[in-house]
Amino acid sequence: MTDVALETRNLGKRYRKLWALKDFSVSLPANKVIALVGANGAGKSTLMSIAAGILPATEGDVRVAGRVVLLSQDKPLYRSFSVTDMLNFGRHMNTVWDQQRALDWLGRFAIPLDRPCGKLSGGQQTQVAMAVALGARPSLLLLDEPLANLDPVARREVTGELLAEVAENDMTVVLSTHVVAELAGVGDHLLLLREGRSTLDGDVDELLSQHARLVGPRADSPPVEGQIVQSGHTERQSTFVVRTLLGPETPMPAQWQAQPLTLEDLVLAYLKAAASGVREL
Amino acid sequence: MIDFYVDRTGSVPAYAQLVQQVREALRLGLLRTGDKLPTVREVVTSCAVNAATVLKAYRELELSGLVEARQGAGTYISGTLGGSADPAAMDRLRGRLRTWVGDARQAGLEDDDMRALVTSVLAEPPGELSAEQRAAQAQAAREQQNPRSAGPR
Amino acid sequence: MRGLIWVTWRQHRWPIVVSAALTAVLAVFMVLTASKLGSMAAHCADPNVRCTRSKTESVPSHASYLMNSVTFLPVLVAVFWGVPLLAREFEQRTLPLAWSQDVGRQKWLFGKTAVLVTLVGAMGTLLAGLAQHLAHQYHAYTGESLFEGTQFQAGGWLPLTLGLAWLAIGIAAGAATRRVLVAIAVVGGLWITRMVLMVQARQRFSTPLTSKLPFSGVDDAALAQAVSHSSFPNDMNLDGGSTGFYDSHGVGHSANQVMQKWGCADARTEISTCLKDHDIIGKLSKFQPANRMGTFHLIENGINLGLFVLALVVAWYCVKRTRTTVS
Repeated sequence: MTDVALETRNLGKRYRKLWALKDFSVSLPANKVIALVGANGAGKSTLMSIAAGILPATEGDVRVAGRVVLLSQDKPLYRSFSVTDMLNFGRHMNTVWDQQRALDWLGRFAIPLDRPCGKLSGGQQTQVAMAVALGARPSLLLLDEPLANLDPVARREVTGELLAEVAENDMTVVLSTHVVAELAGVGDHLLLLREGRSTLDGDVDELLSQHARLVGPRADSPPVEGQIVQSGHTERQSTFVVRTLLGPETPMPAQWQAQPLTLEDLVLAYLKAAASGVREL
Repeated sequence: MIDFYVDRTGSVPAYAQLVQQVREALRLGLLRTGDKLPTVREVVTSCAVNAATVLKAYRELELSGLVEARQGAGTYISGTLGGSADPAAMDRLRGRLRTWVGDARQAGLEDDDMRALVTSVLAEPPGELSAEQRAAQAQAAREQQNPRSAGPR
Repeated sequence: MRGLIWVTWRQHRWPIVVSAALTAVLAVFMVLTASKLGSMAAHCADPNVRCTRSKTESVPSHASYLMNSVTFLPVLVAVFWGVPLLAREFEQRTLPLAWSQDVGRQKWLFGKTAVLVTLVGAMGTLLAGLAQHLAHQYHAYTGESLFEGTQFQAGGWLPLTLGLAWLAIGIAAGAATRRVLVAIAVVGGLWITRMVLMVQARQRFSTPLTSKLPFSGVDDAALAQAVSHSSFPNDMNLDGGSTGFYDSHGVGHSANQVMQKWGCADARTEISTCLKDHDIIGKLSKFQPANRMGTFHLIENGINLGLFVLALVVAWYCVKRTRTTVS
């Protein structure tokens, strides 16, 4: 359980003058679903491309255990290839290939095998790209915004099937997204990126149990010890999002309430804090 | 067979929602001893939640003695809920709540105000309980255990 | 490698099929035309038979068309085989897919290139061999020099090396521009530039020789033929009759001097009389002798193979530098 799927040390990537990743060190656990969250341009795609080995890092190291497959944002397929051809492509271009797994995936979503990929709907194309990715039997599957062009029903279905694949195989999935609301119950592990750095990194349940929204009478600081993630004040009331050991279970003085956060609340609190932090600077 | 549903908007963790739904189904009689729970894969695909979440929920249900995992066969309901089964205790609590609601209406509270009040009290940590409440809690706990130690009637 | 063969075939099967068909058709026509020319030449070898030996007859002109087609094919190879290899993948954004499989991008590029090189090599060898044979038969019948124009370009395996070079140039153009149409335009521009440059450069591969051709007879017909026709069968004639003339003292006079200033080109004067009046006894000729043809073919093949390597290096450099993410 403590195996590491992806480890980076002081990883950096510079595009001309701009650092897309800087001094980036994380260690992501194996056989988990890792939610990679961040605003556009935070470095999610860059991190995935480097991990997949298709983009050289400017500095630092990245170590990956086993086979890596990246499914990039625009789900590239050869438009003139039939679905069967795409599977043949996967079979011919990889040293390891599981045709049955790919066919099973396509079968679950009733994708016609003989149709050219260019004539499939956006959602169907995503399924073909997923099938090719899964057929390569990755131990680390990097999915860059995989659900972007799916309708809500299909999103749920794909997420479910994908999670089942994780449960049944030795596979770690890194899922980048900016639709945080859909991550509840999906990700085991959260990695929050901001401007090329890791802002928050940990087990989702642990993180949620360590954070709380404290609401009480107007005050300059929260009534308990802890890292203040976000604070807001009205004339009479103060709200703090804090990180403390006990989170929502923290004993509160009178007039104060500690409320648990949803995953979305948590992510938004960190992202907003980051944004306001920039303004202060 | 129970159909799980996971609400992603609330702050209740997904595994807790699954546990809650099994308890609710037991309470309503939708699930009985010997019924099979969906496999982890079924829950994972139908609710699009992580397998770890489902396993965590099933483990928690197993620890509280409500379900048992049979090797290779699945997870089955093996127990019944305690506390709420005692009608006398329920009646007593209901009566006291009815009085309280009456008081609250007289004090000018509307239904939503009362709900907010209940929520905020529920959110208070257990350390805030008065000595009287703690005594009542201990009493309730004893009442919960009694029927089980007495064995099936 | 077997995987890359399959992928290359699957992605380029239409150009490959069409090219193979075209190769077959051209090959058949070249074999037939060459054999016809051969028998015509054999027929004319009999001194009792009177032959026009004109290159405007239908069979020699067919041969000329065929040789021209073969020397033109390399640009089609560049456009239909070379350019799409990378440019189409850039346009359809499929490179992240191709390069994130187990086959790395270097192996991918050189593997696919190797498959295409093999195919172009096979078809090119066949066509270049047949074109060379055809050029010889054309020469045998019409007497046109093998060292000149289309006959030179069709011979010495030049179509083969040119095809390989332009395959690589097409790939490099696609890699550098990342757009099919832009790459095709670049290839077209480069091809025209090459044609213009090579016509000039070919003459200068080594210093030309100059010879004096005396007008042997005095009768006007022979003189006129001597002025308009070179009698050196396999030389590369560089002046087209414009190098000049020389007088009985061996002093050279430019064609401009003789024809315009002295008015020998004037329709009213008899050209032979005019030349005799000015003591012109022969014409000067600048040429590359026939024995240099092998060297010249070698030089041009060397240029082609150099371009082949250079273009592949450019393509590899572009591929190596390509970022596959935009974030």
